[in-house]
Amino acid sequence: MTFSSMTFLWIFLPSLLFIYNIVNKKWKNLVLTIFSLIFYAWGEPVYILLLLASILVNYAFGIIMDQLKNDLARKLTLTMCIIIDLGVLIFFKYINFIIDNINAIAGHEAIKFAQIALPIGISFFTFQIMSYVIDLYRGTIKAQYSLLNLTLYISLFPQMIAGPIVKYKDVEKELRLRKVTANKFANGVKIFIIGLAKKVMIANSAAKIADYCYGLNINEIGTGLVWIGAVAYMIQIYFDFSGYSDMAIGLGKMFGFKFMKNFDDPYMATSISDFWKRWHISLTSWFREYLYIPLGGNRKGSIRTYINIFIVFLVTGIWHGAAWTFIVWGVFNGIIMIIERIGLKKWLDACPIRILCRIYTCFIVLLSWVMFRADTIAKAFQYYLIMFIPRANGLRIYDLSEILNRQNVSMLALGFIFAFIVPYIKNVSLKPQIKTFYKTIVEPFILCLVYIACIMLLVANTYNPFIYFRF
Amino acid sequence: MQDYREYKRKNMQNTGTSGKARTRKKAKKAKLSSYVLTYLFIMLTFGTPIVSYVTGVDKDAKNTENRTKATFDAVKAAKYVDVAEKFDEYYNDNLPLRSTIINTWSGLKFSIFGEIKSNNVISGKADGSKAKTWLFYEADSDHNPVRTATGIDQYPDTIKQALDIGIETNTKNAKLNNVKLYYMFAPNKENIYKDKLPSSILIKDRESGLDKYIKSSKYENLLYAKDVLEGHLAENIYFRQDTHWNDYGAYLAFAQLMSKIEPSYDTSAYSVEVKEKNADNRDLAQMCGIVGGFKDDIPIVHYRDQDSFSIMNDADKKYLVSENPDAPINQTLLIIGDSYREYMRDYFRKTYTRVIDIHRGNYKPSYFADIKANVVIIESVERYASETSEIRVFENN
Repeated sequence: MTFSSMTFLWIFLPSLLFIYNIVNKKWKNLVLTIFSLIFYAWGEPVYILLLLASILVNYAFGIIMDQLKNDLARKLTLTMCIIIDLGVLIFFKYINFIIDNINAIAGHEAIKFAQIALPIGISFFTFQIMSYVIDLYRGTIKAQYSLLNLTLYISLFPQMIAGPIVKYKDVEKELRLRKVTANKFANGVKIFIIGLAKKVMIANSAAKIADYCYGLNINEIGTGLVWIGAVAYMIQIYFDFSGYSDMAIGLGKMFGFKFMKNFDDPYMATSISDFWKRWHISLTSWFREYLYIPLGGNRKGSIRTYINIFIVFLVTGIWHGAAWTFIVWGVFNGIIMIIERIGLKKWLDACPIRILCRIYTCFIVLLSWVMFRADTIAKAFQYYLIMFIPRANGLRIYDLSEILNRQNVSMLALGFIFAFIVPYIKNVSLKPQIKTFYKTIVEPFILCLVYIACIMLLVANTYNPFIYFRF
Repeated sequence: MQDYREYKRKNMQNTGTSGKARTRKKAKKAKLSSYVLTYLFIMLTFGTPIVSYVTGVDKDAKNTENRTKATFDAVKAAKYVDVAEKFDEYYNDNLPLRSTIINTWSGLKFSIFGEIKSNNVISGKADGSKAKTWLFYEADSDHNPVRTATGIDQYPDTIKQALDIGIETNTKNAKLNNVKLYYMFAPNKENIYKDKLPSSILIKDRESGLDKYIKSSKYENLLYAKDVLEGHLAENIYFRQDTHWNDYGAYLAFAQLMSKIEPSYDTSAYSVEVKEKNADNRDLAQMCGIVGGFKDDIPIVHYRDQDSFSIMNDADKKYLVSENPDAPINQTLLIIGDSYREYMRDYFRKTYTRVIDIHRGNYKPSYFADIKANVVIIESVERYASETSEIRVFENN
């Protein structure tokens, strides 16, 4: 089930809100857990068992670790638990990729292996559960003896499938006690609607253009089309991902949870280091806390810092998907980060024309998204060549006139405005009276109109007519 | 008194009471906006399904999609792993207020963007008002007529060869059976009215694959309605919001055919009356989901209005048979074709004493022995022309 499906919006969410708000406080976690498991099972009716097994294993290891007094034994327990968690992740997410590569190197089918389907959200829930056992080992949290509460933490439907990655210590208190006030609920509704609009109105329209451009035969695509596709994808990935994160944060608030902000106007960043402080913040912070700092961070000299940065970004690339394009994308980001660390960042920070720094960042990010979106590394490099060595479009210019219709172009332009211009003006201070009027009257109605528009778009997408039964 | 007020003001400042009051006032306003948003959200989330179920709106909405909608029985019958998917399909097809929302959204989109770009329909130019916009069909699954009309998709040699074989085989066997046989191709609306396509659609080649095939073909019994229709474009020979030709377009094609089949027969005694009508029931308008938004100037052709004919199914209900003893040509005519034939057949029913009418997908060569037609017409619209090559009229094919 996705947040932008009618089953979620008109059945799941109203039912959950209704039941959750009428039951006694002590039943609220149970209700939320049951609904969260239904939410997951809706998309993964079989792999829900894997999720439950993973929760049980980590619950058991958590209890054992809490009971042990010997540090070595605790360390061993943690190691075993991490091996199991990563083992499951590697098996389900990367085994196909690993075996395909071994077979490719061998030149024949050296290992015969049936392809394994990727369980939804496995990267997210594995990282969440790892944060629990690692923090437990570090002693920064107490063991969770309630299986229900731990299950709720891992399976909590707003963030389980696509983040943000919530650390156990951030929601530890809320799992026990939380309060939903009118303000919190309304704030949640607001963030949810904004997220829904980002996904349904902007990301989906940009996706049509990007999918079309990236779906073309490389021989038929010209320089203009590659740039259009790259920009459309840049808009699509931001509004899709941040839209989903916003929906998750908003839903969390409706049920009393406070999840961390996952995106902070990333395309306004003035360097790639700055970009990674604004993009998928929950993942960056996870890697910083559980990988970069344990590796030594920047405390062991320059060379070691560069190596640590490189490792973190290599792993970030691998985390994003089992394909060489993701690995190259991660490495590319790592190299740019190291270059910035060596000296470029100082130059960028000193640059008086800030817009130049933003253009530099957007340009690098755009190039990296080409690699991220391409099917293969070879294809990505072909796109780069076409981008910088101008060539005319092939036949497909005729199709493009159909794809670049007014609706798609308008939504792409809207995405551009919200990604690049609105962050400049959103903090403009208004007169208190105007601000109050806007907040009290205008904003709720605008949000509701946007919500209605999203619903209409989603319902309209279910209209799938055929011209005749038999023509 | 003034001193007391001054004392109180100072005292309040010292204790911060006025600051607290301001905070309270602010919180009150924030609460108000929260309530407004929360109530509106709850109304929309809970209200729409409830209103729909209570009022019954859309429960019996007309199915304009020409497909079987998913049912709850399929959900009940589904395996565990498929239940969610089947339920989503069922729910999406049976959403509360679905038709109302789709129609409203389509209308809004048309008003805001001035174009329709959904469900394989695009809007073209308008004749004066927006309501008189030309709609075009561009489904890839149906040999995309827009790509055909703009010359992007051309016929490969295999299609031309298959058409040659089909025409030659049927013509040869028609001669053996002493039957007159004609092929009639109707151009796609997008081909004949390509100048009404939106200006954003670029035309690569004004000649479509069928245009080129017919130009190079040598068959005398092969007729192309485009040759006649092109002279009447201003007279609206196709529906604006439908894939088909209208009565007048069909009449012109009928007259073209008759001039070939019976050159001495005079089809010129007719008149045309044009009426402006709502276009809600036209196929492309329905595919857009726009209700009450379109108008068309529909020509009604008066040709042998005094004639009447009876229509019945044959004994096995395989095809329609019409009989008209007063018809000027005492022969049996067989029309095999697609939905374009439906607009032409009444003219033939008023002209021939017996007319058999059958969809090409339902025709079998074995039927011919019972039909015993004197004249056979194989009709096809451009987008299905390649399928015509598969039609075999006679059993000895």
